[in-house]
Amino acid sequence: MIFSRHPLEQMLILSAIVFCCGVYTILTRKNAVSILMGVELVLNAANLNFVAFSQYTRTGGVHGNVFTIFVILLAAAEAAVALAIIIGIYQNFGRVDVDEADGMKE
Amino acid sequence: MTPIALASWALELTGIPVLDAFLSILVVCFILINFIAVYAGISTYAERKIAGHMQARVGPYRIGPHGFLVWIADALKLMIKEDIIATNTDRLLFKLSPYVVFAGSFACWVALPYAPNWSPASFNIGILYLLAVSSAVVIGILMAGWSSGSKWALFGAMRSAAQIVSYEVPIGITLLGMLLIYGTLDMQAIAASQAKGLPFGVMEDHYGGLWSWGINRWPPFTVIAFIIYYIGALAETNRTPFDIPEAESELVAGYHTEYSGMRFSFFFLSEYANMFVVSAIATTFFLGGWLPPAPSASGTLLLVVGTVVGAGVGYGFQRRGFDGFVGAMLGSGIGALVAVFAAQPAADGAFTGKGPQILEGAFWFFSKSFTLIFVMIWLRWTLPRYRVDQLMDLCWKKLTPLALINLVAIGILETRHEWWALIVNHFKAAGP
Amino acid sequence: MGAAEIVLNVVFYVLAASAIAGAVAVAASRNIVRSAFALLAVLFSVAGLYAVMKADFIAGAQVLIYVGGILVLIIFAVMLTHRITDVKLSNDSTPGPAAFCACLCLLFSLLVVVRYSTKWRRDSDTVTARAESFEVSFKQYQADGATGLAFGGGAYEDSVVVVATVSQGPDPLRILDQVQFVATSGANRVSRNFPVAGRDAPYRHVFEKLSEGEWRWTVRLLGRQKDGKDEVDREWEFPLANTGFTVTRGVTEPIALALAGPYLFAFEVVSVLLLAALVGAAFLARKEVKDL
Repeated sequence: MIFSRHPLEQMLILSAIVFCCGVYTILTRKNAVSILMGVELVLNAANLNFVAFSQYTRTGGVHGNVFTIFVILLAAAEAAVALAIIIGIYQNFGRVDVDEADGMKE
Repeated sequence: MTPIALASWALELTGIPVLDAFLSILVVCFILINFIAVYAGISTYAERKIAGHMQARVGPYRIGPHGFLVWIADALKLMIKEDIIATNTDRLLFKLSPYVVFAGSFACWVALPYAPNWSPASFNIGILYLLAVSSAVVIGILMAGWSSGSKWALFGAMRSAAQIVSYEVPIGITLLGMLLIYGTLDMQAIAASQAKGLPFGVMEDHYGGLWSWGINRWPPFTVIAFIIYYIGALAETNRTPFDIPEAESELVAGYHTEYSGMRFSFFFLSEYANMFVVSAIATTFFLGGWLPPAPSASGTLLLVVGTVVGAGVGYGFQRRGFDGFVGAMLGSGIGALVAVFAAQPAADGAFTGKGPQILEGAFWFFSKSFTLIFVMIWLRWTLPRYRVDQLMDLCWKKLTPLALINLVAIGILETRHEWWALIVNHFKAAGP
Repeated sequence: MGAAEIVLNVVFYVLAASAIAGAVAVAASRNIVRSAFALLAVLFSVAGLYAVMKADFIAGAQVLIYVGGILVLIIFAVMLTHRITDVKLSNDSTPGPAAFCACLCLLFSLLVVVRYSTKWRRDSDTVTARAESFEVSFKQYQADGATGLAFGGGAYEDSVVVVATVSQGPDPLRILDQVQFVATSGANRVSRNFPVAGRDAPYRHVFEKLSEGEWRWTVRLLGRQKDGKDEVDREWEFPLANTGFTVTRGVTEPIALALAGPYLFAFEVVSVLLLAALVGAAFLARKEVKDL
């Protein structure tokens, strides 16, 4: 019950941890779908922040919540297009390793 | 006095300070799981009996009176079977997936409006929660298909997941149309608001009995919405005519091919639990939830009289059971309509949900849901199976556009006052 | 700390633990399918955390869209981009000390900023009203008693906490007996009396089970006034203009009003964008029809 009087800070610390796990995933993974999963972690952490600020400060409105809804919608659109591209890469190259997709390099 | 409040009150007597909150939830969930298990068992018995009688045979007959104990025998057999896990499987996910699928179905059961003011967990976002946690079922199916380590299981799982996710679209759009009528996401409020109002928006203060139910609000659009929802519900639960993923002649048994014994029984349990959930949602949105078909006691009398007279007249015409049934339906409708004008309940005699009305409400809710389940079983043994491309074609090219047109129509009809004011003002401004 | 707060804290810690465990599993698992199902755990935990924060609509939307849409897509993509024969798919990664240290530093800096260097403004504004020799200062909080509720803002539950101080300048003629808070919303009216405790003592009350709608505050002071030799009962009323709040059940209605109001254009643009993404993804993932 350490931070029971600071629910805002509890949420922000949690979202910071999830955010850093997401960044680690994006930095180290080679599989393109794994990198996309890391991006989803980052977006979820940001959403937690938005909602925490909207619900736990005296803003007087739901702007944080509305932003969260938009972020969820845009994450859906982006995941759909990214996965379509990944499937296209698989059909053309046979592998979805981002280190090996360097056909446009010199 | 929701079930959790009752259990919490009982546990508070023990004096444990905060644990009573968690223990009461456990107690309610325990009771609910047992109910689901018994319901699913009896549902399998009902399915085999109905299948038998529709195929001019008797179905299970020997174990117990008219075979009534055969589901207990089946459950015992599944429990004591050897637990076989193939070698090429991902063991953790293989063991986890029946529970994920069951958790998705069970989480829906806690939010259903069984009786007025009496639901294990009543949310403000009722229907959104139900649609959301049904997604756990899809993930569990994919998990099961993948971890089985066989390509038939995987194909079955992917087809099943694609089918469920595709049919969520027309279901969502039709429910959205009905939500325009009700104006709230709360399931209890949706059921309660079907007590008053007659079709086409006339006489909104009168208790209309079965004429106030959701399916009768804006005929033909709400009737079309019900049909689209029911077809989508058949596809959501992988029932015939949409049971490509689990049909024996197609993919052995689809995503649960490699499961045996107790693990298989979980999938089985989830399928029947899911059937009840989609029927319960249809009941709440279209058939009045826990409301009785007549608004008061004398209204019920009129309804029964009308049904009997209609049945007699219909049967008398052709001496066929079918015409008697049609006559009964027409007669009950006319009886309910007469009851609207002749037998309105007093203001405090309406269905408010106190005391024994909880039992009455639960009776009507379960009757309507079980009737819809009976129709699902009936359809299974009547219709042939759709091919997977015909299934997708039906969803995306026929049901979704129809559902969208329905949504727009109901939206225009619900905002008819604003449209009328707009037209009147236009002509007034352009007048003399 | 009442029982409800303890329960809420326990639930928060359980959900936080499962979210962190899932995130670590996504980052570190060597089997990509296990990563995907760990993402399922994270998404459900985050939805639970939204519900803990009383943003119920967003919790439902999160599960519906993320789990029911995006995660299904991700799992399909995982299954379509690998050979079916290996069940244990490897998920190579290049973990190096650089990435790990970078992430640790990022985490450390975020934690320091969040916990120690930023003063988050959670407290409520104060409204002061003066009449004769009395002064009433007034704050309102959300149901948890610590998050300020802006005047005119929305309370997402049906209870509101009020903290007020009443101070009286030196005035031998007037004696204060009771302070009464009255909240009105149309025909509904709730009120609460307090006997005067002492100079500048704060009065705190939780108003529960308020019905939905817009509410306004009025504060009435009941006391006596010396009028010559007699004492006459008197009331002083402070209508406290522009102090009010709206009670909604959950966050659905305010979001809906915002999406149909200030955010309408953004909503329409996002709809068009989703349509473009739908068409684009269907086009990009099509199978080329090879000429025979």
